[in-house]
Amino acid sequence: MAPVIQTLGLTKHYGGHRGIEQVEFEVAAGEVFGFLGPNGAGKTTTIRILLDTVRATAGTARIFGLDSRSDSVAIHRRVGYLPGEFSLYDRLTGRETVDYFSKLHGGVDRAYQAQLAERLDVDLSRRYRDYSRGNKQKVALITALQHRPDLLVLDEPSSGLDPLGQQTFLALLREAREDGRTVFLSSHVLDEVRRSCDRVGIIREGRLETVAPVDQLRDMAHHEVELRFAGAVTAAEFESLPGVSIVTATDHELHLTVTGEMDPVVRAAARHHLIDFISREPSLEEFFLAHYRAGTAAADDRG
Amino acid sequence: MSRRQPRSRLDQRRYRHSLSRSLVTAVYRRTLRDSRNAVVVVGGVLALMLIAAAGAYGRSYTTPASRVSFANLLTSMPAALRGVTGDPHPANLTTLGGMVSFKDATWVCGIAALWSIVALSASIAGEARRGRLELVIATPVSRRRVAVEKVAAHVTGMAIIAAICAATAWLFGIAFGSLPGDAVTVGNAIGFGLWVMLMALASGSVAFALAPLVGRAGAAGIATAVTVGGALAYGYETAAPWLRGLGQVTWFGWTGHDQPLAGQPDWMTLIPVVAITTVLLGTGVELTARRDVGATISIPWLRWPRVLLGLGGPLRRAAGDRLPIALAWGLGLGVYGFVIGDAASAVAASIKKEAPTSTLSVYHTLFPGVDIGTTAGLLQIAFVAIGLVLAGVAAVTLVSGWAADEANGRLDVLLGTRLSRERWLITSALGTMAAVVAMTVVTALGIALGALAAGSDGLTPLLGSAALGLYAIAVVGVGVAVGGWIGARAAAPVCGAAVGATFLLSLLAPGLHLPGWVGQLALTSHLGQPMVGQWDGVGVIACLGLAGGGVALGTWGMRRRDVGR
Ligand SMILES: Nc1ncnc2c1ncn2[C@@H]1O[C@H](COP(=O)(O)OP(=O)(O)O)[C@@H](O)[C@H]1O
Ligand SMILES: [Mg+2]
Repeated sequence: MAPVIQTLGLTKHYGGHRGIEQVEFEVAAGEVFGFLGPNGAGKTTTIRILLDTVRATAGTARIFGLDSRSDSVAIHRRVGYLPGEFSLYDRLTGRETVDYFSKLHGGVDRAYQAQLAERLDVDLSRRYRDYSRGNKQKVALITALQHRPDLLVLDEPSSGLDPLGQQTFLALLREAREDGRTVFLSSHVLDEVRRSCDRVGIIREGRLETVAPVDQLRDMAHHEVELRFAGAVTAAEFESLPGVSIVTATDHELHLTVTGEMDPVVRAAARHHLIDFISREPSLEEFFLAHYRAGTAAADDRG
Repeated sequence: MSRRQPRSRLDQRRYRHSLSRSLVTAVYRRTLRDSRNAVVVVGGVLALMLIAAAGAYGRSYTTPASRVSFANLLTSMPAALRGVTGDPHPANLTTLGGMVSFKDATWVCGIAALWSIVALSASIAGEARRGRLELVIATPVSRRRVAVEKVAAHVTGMAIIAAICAATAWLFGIAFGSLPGDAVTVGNAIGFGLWVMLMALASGSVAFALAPLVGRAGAAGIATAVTVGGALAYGYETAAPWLRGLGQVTWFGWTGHDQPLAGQPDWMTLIPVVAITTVLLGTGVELTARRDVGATISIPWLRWPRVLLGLGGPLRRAAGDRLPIALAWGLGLGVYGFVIGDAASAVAASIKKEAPTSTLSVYHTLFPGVDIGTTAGLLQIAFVAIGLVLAGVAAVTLVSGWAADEANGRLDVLLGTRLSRERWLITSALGTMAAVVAMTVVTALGIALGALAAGSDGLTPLLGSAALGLYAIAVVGVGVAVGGWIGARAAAPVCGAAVGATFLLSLLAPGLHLPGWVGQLALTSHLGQPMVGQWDGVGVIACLGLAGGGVALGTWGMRRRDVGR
């Protein structure tokens, strides 16, 4: 099946400033794709190019096989969009706001609208300006979801939501996927991506570094290993093993980080009298941090 | 050191930079620095106005006899005309300072007041909306301190403007004075500056006290209404008897006899102004300290019936969103029109009966084709001139509302729907122009009712008010072109500059004896005399052209640029 989103060499410069460089990825129909990166990485820039609110310096993006720029209106008919930063009409109530946007999208499904409001627990009778940050986010989320679009483009959708709201949001995402919709969401929260996405693209300093299934990201991650021995062991014996780096070492104890297979470490350890072996699978957070630490170190080395 | 700045370090620096900008202790300095340009512009405009008025008078009237006859002419002017200057009880009209005081003092203080309102309504409410305050302010104590520092910075800026006014007054006495009594003493110059400053701050303090309650726009609107209404009520108090009581409860009325420029200071009358300003500023500080930041009360009567909200489509939404402000302007202009329309026929009749032929002939040379002895003629002179300025300012506020779609980030959501960029620009521009029409209709009804109430022809002034709408629509056209082409943030400032330049051109060109074509650059000088039923086709076409061309240009620009925030 043709991809729902497909970008080729997407590049954006703001004057002389870097926006994004050569971003290329595909999102298949029916998948939830997470776009992960720290602040300023270029997530919003990419999304706004997809929505044609900013124009790429180079490269193209196709959505539903249509050109994101020349066919933007045709694309938007089938898209629900939640910008990262937005405001709506201060004087309108939540209901008036979602009614107006359903009109712009070409039809109201009142029952679904009411259901969304109830599940997200937002009172639509209040004025927009009186809502808290999180409730504003919920109202905008309803405007993006209520017309049941084929593609949801959500820029940091859960920011400002309380834990309960985030759970509801994740449930809504699951339902969207079950209905066969496609979701493209950006985030700097790893846990959210881990819990909601099928695949992840990691963007940093404007460049897309990795695109991988969420599970595989975890496989690529390092493990933290703690070894306790009855007798003395030399750190050098382990340090030379592939994928291993020593964090701390005493006579009887070693703390290692192991990237890739565990087998060499286990074999080396088995040559000694081993008392305890603890291997901890890192959270995606730790993976992410390690990933960036490695990246920054490499950049500094280059400089 | 790497050639490329490591990102984290750059971020750190940005972070530190933004932190130092928002530190409480730096609020005074930051506010003052941020208002630097405004202080220079406002001070410069006021100085120019004073110099233009003093130069024109000082060079044209160099003999006592010529001055006496000019003063007599002015005092024989009907109150409905003199009210424009805001000074119903002029003093020492045969001196340079007296004439400038009569002609321009209220306008000078009005412009300073407008700046004070804009600055003080935005100072806390604006920050709260941007979320900056919450970052800094944890306790009521520090909130109070931020508010006090903001006020102190504004008062400092205003004092600089007052000093510019005082220095200009003293200097023009030396530069243009030719007869005894023309010199402006240092004491009187300072007194004038002080008056300007205190009057302006009084208006600004209304906005400051209200901003925590009703938000920035509401506070600015109410304070402007109080100020403009007060100045008009006092200025016209001799024109309509029922205005007398009203004028006397404004600070314009209280200080009416404090005319230091005219050599007639009355320092004591400033005391109540200082008192009420202090109370209002104190109220604003306390409200800022105690109320939830950014939580404003909703005024129930501001809830509109759903049909007027325009939820049916982008054009209606744009019109509905602008409508409250447009109607507020329409009401203000309409009330003003009603008062003048009502007073005009009586005044016109008395002119017809009593005015010396010499006076009438002077008017005929000043305003050829206008019969001052008729209601319509009076309206043309007394209403249209100011009305155009106000309609222009109204249009700027509407343009700024239009630009908020993009400036506030609403446009991102809108363009995520089936709405194309071009359709957004066209519909929102037309919706804004529809709001101008609503404003004009209300204004027209006010003036027509006033004329009818006084038993004269209502139809001509009704139609004549369209001139205000035409001018306002042209301003919106300019705003839409700039907004579409460059970006929303530029729209209102450029329109404001255009309206200001138009006003200054028509005000300064005659006074500074600039060549005729300079004054002709003002669009408002091409609208004919619509209140007498004489339309100038050139101006009408120019206005419609600017409106239509603006939309076309804006649409074209909108196709090609990035949408920003
Ligand atoms: N309108 C703009 N003008 C200039 N630079 C911009 C603009 N928008 C974004 N940038 C820059 O582009 C980079 C990517 O920003 P953005 O896409 O907003 O990142 P993210 O959404 O991942 O936080 C940042 O370095 C940012 O400073
Ligand atoms: Mg972003």
